[in-house]
Amino acid sequence: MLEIRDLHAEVEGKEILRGVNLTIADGEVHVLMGPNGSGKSTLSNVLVGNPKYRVTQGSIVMDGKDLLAMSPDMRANEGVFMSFQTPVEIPGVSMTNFLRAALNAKRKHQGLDPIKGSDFLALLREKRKIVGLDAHFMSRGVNEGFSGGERKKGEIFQMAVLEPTFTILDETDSGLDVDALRTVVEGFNVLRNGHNSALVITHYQRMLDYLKPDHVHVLMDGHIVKEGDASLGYTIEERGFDWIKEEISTQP
Amino acid sequence: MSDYTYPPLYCNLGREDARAVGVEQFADFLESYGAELDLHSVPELAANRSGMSNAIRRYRRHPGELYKYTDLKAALTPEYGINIHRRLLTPNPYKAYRCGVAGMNAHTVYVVNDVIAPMAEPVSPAADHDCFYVGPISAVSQAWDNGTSMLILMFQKYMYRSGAFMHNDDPITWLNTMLRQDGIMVYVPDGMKLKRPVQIVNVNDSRTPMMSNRLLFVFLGHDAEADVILCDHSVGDTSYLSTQQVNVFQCYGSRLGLYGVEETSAQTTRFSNFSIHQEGGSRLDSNLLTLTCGLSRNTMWVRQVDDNVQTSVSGAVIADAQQHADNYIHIIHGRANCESEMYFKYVMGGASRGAFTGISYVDRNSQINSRQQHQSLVVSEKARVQSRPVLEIYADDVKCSHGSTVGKLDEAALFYMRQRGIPEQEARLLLQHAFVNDVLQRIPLEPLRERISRLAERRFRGDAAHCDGCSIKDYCQ
Ligand SMILES: Nc1ncnc2c1ncn2[C@@H]1O[C@H](COP(=O)(O)OP(=O)(O)OP(=O)(O)O)[C@@H](O)[C@H]1O
Ligand SMILES: [Mg+2]
Repeated sequence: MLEIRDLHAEVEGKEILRGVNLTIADGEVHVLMGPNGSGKSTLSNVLVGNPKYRVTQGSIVMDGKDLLAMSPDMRANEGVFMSFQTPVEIPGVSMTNFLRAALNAKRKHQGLDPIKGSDFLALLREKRKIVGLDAHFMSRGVNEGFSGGERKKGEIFQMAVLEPTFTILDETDSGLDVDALRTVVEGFNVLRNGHNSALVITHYQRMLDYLKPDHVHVLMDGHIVKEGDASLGYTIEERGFDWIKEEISTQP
Repeated sequence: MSDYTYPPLYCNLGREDARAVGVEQFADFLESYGAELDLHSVPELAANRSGMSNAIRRYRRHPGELYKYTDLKAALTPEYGINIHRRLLTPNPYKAYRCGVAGMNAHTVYVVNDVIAPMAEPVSPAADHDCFYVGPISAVSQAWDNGTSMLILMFQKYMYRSGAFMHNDDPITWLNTMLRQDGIMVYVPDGMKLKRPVQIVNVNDSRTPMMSNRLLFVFLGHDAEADVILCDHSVGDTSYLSTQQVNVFQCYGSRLGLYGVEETSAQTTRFSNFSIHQEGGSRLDSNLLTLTCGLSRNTMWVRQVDDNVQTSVSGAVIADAQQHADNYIHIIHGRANCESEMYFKYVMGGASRGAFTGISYVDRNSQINSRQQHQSLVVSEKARVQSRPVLEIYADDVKCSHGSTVGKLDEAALFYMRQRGIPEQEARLLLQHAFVNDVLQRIPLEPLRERISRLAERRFRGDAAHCDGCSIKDYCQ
């Protein structure tokens, strides 16, 4: 269970989030929509503890633990994963070495021994298939020279290896071609179980079709201004955000 | 002073004149102890001392550009002893030390301070022209049988030819020439490709401050091939000063791999001078790695002669705390179709100082292709790095490029890694290792490449504790 209460956050001295409230129960998939620049990525970054973003007020509690008190790596090892909107290149650090370090950090956190070399390679092979990522990406530097779509596949692949309990997908669908999107989201669905939950940021209906989310939230001007079920997402796809803006302005 | 560092070398004893401190102490030393030094020296090395001493006395008035970023005077001022009587302080260094680059199946020679330990598997002096030789110069000196005298003749003929540039200019070469008593010779005859690399492990090991003056002469015949690995270590926290002169003569078509790995200590001041003569069609692959050091300076002069000469000099520095690392590379290009590349990467932490000077000299009527790259990653506020590329070009038909960059760790990459659960220290380590790794990947000798990559990784892991980087640590404790 993830509970965000009255969350305020700023970046470069500018307040972006102005009191966000959001609860995601175990096993649920929530979709977050909102106009460009409304603060969706800001919220994601705050959830994973990006030091560029400063929380000024409010709380984030996951399974009873204060997320804001944890370092980014601690949060990750507690099961928080973010698929970045724009994944960065890490030249010279191969995907294999990178993921081994990440997986072993998590295992250490759980009190487990490092994974055996052969088991690890088998695991990579199995998870690559889920998203259809070629073997040669493993020996290349992380995201080094990857196309936009390949980077997004890479993110889901990493998620599959690390098996998080709470996943944020920040526009993972944009940049993927139709077939790749299906593979990736099907892969994502395969990894769902009754316990892990997700916050999915998207601008597109296709994602709603595949994901069948439990809830849809709309973020505007740093607040969640509207909530509903999947049908809210379809309405936005059809009518945009203006009607919501009008609705707010007519409210007292 | 303990008995074995006899006689002690006093620098400024009873002198009021502050200018006399520094390099001059060595000239004074020679005046007092020259005869005794000669008594325990290879005769072929004893001849040149006094000229050097005069040069050193002149030096303090003409410091020049050569040591722009390294304060030579300050480095040479403290007092050190010299092991004039050449006692081997560690009877069996092959057992006592464990060099991190060990297990290479190499022809290994240990040099304790500047005394060459008997080799575990000696290579006897060549009986004829077809045999190679790795061993002390003293073993072939003043020999009158056929093969051995050939070696000493080669030494006399080519040793100074290959080192001519440095003899004119470099005070460290003067100092080394003035004080060295023995050295190692590697001789590979025409056409021979040495199957096993030659590994020279220099160890500073003394309980009192010690100066060592080392010499290596490498001769590669026509189309000969060899790999030479030089490892530098220091034991304990004694102050050490070492000078090393490496002279190389590469005949037509020969190939040399020359690798340096330094894992010394904060109390070690080390100067290593390379003077390399490359004839036509020869190839040099060199890689100089400074893992831990106090003050470290590599000076390399390469002189290409004729056509089709290839020279690649790369290196990496990993420095923190108060370490000072300086690489100075000077390549004088040959005529047609010659290539050279300098590729250096530094990772600078703590309050470390790094310097790089790359000089490409191209004479008239040359057609060459020369590249220079110096990239630094500065990971702390107090670290500094200086870079000085110099292109001296007197020809038209040349392709020359140089670049120097100074950057910080990529914060976005760091965060990305932490988001995946990798702790900050580990993430920094991975990024730093990745940064220098492409320099290490240039080492063509695979087992060496792997070992060095591991040493570098361990170096990044070894937090502030300095001795951590040194593989002789086990022996110290
Ligand atoms: N590092 C930053 N420096 C300065 N401004 C920033 C930074 N990050 C975000 N912002 C600003 O904060 C606001 C919210 O940005 P955010 O990326 O959260 O929007 P978003 O809802 O994800 O938009 P999109 O749908 O385009 O991805 C924008 O005005 C943006 O310019
Ligand atoms: Mg965004």
